[in-house]
Amino acid sequence: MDCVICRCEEVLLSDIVRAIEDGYTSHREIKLKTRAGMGICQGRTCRLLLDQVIASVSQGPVPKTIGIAPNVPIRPIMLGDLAKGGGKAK
Amino acid sequence: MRMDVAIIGSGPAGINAAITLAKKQKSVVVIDEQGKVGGKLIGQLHEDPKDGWWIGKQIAEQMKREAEQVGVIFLLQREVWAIEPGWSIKMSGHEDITASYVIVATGAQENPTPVPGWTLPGTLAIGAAQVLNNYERVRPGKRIAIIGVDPLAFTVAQELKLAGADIVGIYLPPEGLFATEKAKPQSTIGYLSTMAHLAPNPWLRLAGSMAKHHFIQKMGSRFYPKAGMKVFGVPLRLRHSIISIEGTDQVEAITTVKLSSEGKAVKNSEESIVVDAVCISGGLVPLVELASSCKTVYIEELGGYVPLHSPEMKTSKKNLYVCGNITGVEGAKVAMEQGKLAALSIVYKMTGDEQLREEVRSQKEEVNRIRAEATITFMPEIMSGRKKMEQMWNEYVHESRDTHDIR
Repeated sequence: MDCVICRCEEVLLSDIVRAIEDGYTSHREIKLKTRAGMGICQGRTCRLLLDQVIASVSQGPVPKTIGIAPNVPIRPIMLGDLAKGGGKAK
Repeated sequence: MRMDVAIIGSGPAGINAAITLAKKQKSVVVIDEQGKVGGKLIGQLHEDPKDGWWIGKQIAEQMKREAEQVGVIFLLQREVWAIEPGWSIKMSGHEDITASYVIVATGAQENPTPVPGWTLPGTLAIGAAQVLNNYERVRPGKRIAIIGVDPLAFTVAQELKLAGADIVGIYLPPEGLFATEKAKPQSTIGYLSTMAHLAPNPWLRLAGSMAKHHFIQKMGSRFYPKAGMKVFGVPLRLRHSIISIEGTDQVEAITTVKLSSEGKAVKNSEESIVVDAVCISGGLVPLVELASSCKTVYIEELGGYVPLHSPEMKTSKKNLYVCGNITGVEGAKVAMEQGKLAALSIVYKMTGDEQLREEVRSQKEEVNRIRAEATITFMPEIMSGRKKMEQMWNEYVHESRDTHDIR
């Protein structure tokens, strides 16, 4: 059974399983190897699935802390919002 | 804009926190990404055996009116993309807001089970189907299959049927990495039986009463009719799973497979069924992103990663509080009481008023009372999850003391 895990970057379950088998075992390693979680949603959908894949393939418990830490901006935003740098909007 | 408290999320927890704070003469703003106040309340519609019909849309409207009467400001259709200590709340396309306290009440997100073909247009997460159907009044499809057997799947099946959809069945997800117990007939019947007692939905009562004991669970899965059982015209297919969703540009069919009573796929039993939409229910997970600067812990019984918080709803970050499903997946009534508790805790912290200490204490009891009476339990082990959280918080407070890291 193969299916898309990271929709933004079109990464398949088989790509992730292969990466883990090749020794890329942490969220970060898998992200760097496969691009899973690097798209526009920044892992909002696949973060949860990656947790499950890693725990299942490595047969270990789910890690105690979040694998891919959500970074700000937590939503896609306009560059203009960032450029305002906390200043006032019109 | 400078406020005493900014609340992120206008669901049942957020609005009730806002009402409580405003009644105590605090200035409050509630921010929500949606255009309407109420969060997931808006889509809720079911009959409660004790309290009659629960019409979430009306409850949300009532609460909004009450909140506005006591001076709560709502800022809608704004996405918060960061909260910075101080607190400065950053929103897309709008001016920042500063507030002395923040309550993060962002609720939960769906975690639909991946199935081959699930990225085809026409496949929706069950909560999205609920919003589309009940709130936007757009039926997601004419012939719909549902994957996943849980309270939300039952509720939405009934609602889609009310909207005139033909539901071909509620099926188990394919067994694999993303569904182990949830893909087995026997454990699903066992799970259903845990909510038979006071289920608000006739579906759940029927499905649940099928099996309360291990023995009956076993018999249940063995004798569960292979064709499924129809409840209110919707087949509940505990002996079939959907193994893939088919189509070229959109959903055109599902492929199902028969299961033995132990949950093994029966060889050559694949069948193709024409549908134009598939709804996947895989449970809910606390939406913690905005509180990710807090210490987070993994507690499976609560639904996954949650911000570490005290029984009074404060987090490891100074003046940042949480309430509602971000603390663990539960029903709207519990969320409302948690909202009130978070609000009272903040007022106590602000004023140091002894009477408030008493109000906080009795509100904590109220949360527990409502939790114990809940008619739908999304997480069967919620009570032990809450206990774990309290223990972890106590350990954290001890450690912080030892390292002089006390806030």
